[in-house]
Formats: sequence, structure tokens, C-alpha cells
Amino acid sequence: MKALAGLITLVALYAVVSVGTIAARDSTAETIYVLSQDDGILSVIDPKVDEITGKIKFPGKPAAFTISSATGEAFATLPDSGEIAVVDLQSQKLVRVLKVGGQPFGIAVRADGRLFVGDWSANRVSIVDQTSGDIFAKIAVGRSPAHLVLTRDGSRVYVADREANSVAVIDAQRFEVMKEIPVGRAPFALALSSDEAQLAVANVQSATLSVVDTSSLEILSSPATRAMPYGVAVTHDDAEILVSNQQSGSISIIDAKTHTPRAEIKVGRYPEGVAVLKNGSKAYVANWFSASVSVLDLKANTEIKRISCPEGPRMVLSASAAP
Amino acid sequence: MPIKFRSLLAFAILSMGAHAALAHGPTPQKVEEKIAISAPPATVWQLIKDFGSIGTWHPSVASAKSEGGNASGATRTFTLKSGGGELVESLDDYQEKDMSYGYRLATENDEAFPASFYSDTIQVVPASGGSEVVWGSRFYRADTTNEPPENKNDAAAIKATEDFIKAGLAGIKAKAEGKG
Repeated sequence: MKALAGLITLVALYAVVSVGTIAARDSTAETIYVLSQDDGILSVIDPKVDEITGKIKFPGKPAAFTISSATGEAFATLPDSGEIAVVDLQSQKLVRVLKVGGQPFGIAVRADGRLFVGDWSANRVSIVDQTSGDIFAKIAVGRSPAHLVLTRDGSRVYVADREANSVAVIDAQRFEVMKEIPVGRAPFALALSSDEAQLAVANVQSATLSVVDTSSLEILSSPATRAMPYGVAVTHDDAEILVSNQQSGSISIIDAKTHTPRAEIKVGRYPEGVAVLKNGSKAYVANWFSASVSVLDLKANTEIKRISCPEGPRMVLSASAAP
Repeated sequence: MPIKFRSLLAFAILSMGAHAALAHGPTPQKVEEKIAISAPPATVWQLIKDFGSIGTWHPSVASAKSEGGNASGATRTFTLKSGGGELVESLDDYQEKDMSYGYRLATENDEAFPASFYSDTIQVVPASGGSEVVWGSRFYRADTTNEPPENKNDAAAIKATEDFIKAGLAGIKAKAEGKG
């Protein structure tokens, strides 16, 4: 009986829903991925048509994800079960589940195959092998690490320690915390500029953005946002910072040089994750309460489309097509 | 054999369901309730527009005080008739022209209310025959670890939130329709 139950669990776990087909893309084409926690689905949006062209089923309730451009895989944290689910973006299939334990939340992947995974309740970041799930190292950080971001060369990780009101700066070669930078209250999401000179940190409770100079590791500026900033992105030309204001149901566009607000765009209810296309033409916002994705025109600073998606969208990433 | 197999299958599926319910993790939950009211939107808004007024229209509230009016950062502190001490909420987003405001739990107190870090939005919307009040909440269960006790799990948080919002909406309706 145990075997049978196990088999059923396995079948349920590996069930993959695939809706529609993916149009052939050139290798430079970008794709938008939106992760819905409640329904456990990664939606694939083609920015040429702004429609969902595929839905990849994850087990459980995935909270956050990252994409490896080296392997074309997406890694999603499952805080309930202490696992990381890995899907192949080309075949849109679940390929493996890594058991890491604890409550994994924020995640980033390095080109050498190592995952940096925050543990929300154990207050640490684990370095995990992306294939075997083996843990190489555990680094203690401040309370309740939320999202984390890795530099392009993989030398440094920044972690938003939500309950510690600080950002941990980790030397990703030595696996050591270089500094805990005090920021606003309840930092949750963060984003690096393309030149990696600035780190923008969204502070949920204080309704501010902490802009960190990544060479001095000092705060450059703390512009006000609207209520409960939950997501942040920087345009690829480093001109603008986009912040999703969860309680205000809007996106603030902040000038990345002067750190003053340029515009506010109304979106769906309780927006969270936000991502910008490389050419800067459009942004995509996960509206958690509305179960939709807002498409923003960043020239006109208006919402041009709202796409219905599976329940609980919280995180959006833009990635070039899998190799 | 087919019968036995079927019952085994049923048992396995049931076990999985129970497991899934128990192992629910720190996923934000949402509740949204609406109520139709036979009164003009301006009348309904007048009743609830002051963030600190909750004690005058919510039947589950025992006592309430407030500070800061309707400015961002204003707080209201109230106790429930069910006890458990004070709840402190702070105002985030006030939209007079949309007849709407958003607020959040400022100080956790799961003895009074079994949800943590909730943020709510309440809005009066014009509707045929009068108004509609829409009240939504995003929240986490009181115990966000992977093994919450029954009184602090997702189900407890959802039930408490639904009950509180429904009672509040019924209170607004009764007052606005002159029956409160």
C-alpha cells in the first residue's frame, strides 16, 4: 500500500500540464516567466504577443524561482516541503526535485552549477549543487532572508533580511558575510542595476527604497515609494527603477540617477514581482490578488494589457530563450 | 481484487489530501467579501471613511481609539469582544475619490486574531440599487513555520478573516440601511 501511495504521489508530482505550443524563437528572443504560488504553475509569456503560450506545472506551492541560462532550467523553492523543484524550460517538464530541508525561499543560480538558497526560518543561505542537491556550505545571515540576488560574475550575493531590516552582503567565493547593511523596515525584494554599481532594495514596512552603492556598501539615497513596496526592477539602460506598491496597487517609476519619482502607473491588486524587457519597451507585473499580469508600456508609462494567469502570481523573470 | 485496489486507491488519495492540508506552508492567503447595500455610496462612505471609526460600525469590536486621522501612518487600536488584547493597525493608502483605503496590521497579536502580517483594502463602489462594499485581505497564518498548531494554521487564519470581514460588512449594511 505504501508503494501504491508512493507511486500515486510520484505520478502527481511529475504530472506536467502543457497548454498551447511554444512558437519557434531565435536565440536572442526574450521570454517572460511568471510563477503562481497557489496553483504551482510557471506561465510562459511571449512578449511579441503578450499572451501565455505555455504553463509548466510545479509540485506544491513554489514561492520564488531563478533561471540558469547555462542549462535552460528553472529552479523554484518549495518552502512547505523544504525542496527545490527543477524544470527544463525547453521540454516544459519537471526534471528533478532537490531535498534541501528547512523553508527555502529566495534563490539564485551561478554558472558553475551552484544554487544560493535562503532559508526563511533558519536565517541562513545554503550553497547547493544544482544537480545533486548536496549542500556545500551554510552561511548565517539576518532574520528571515527573503529574496536574494547574485552578481553576474558570481562573486557576491545580496540578501534582503526582512526581519533584521538589513541586507547581507556575501562573498560568494569565501562563503562569508562581508557586511550587514542596515536598510529600511522589512526589506523583501532587491535588484541590481545593469552596471551593478547600485542595488535597489524595497522596504515593505517603511515604504522606501534603499539605494546602495555597491563599492562603498553605503546607502546612497532612500526615496519614498507608495504603500508596501514588494517588488523592484531596474531597466537595462540603468535609467529607471520600477517598484511595485502592493497596498497602492501601482508601479512607481523612479529616476535611477536622481532617485526622484517620474510616474506612477495603476496596475492590478496587490502587485508583487516586476520584470523589464531588455530593450526597455515593456514591463510585466504579477498582480497577486487579481491573478493577472499587467503589461506596461514604459514609453507612455501606461498599462496596455492585463493577462489572466493562474492563482497567486508573485514573481516575474525575463530570460532569453533556452539554448 | 478490483474492489480492494479501488479502496486502496481511495485511501491513498485521501491520505495525500490530508497531508497536503496539514503541510500547507507560508503561502500568503486571500479573502475577499462583498455586500450589497440599499443606500447611496456617499452615505456608506460617510459611515466608514474615518479610519478610526471601526468601533462605531463593526459589531465584533469592543472598543477602539485612533491617532493621526486619515493620514498615511495613522493608527487605530482596538479590542475584540472575543478578547485577546489589542490589535494595532496602520493606514497606508487613503483614496477619498475612490472611496477606498488600505491598511495593515502594525503589531502582531495572534491571541486576539490568528493571522500575521495582514494587509486589507476596503472600498465603497456604486452599484445598481445603491452601493457595494468590497473588503479584501492578504495575510499569513499566525504560525508560519512548517508545523503550525491547529489554531494557528492557514485554515484558522482564513476562517477568522472571513468571519471578521463578514461581520464588519453586515454591520456597515445595518447602519447604512438604518437598521443598526
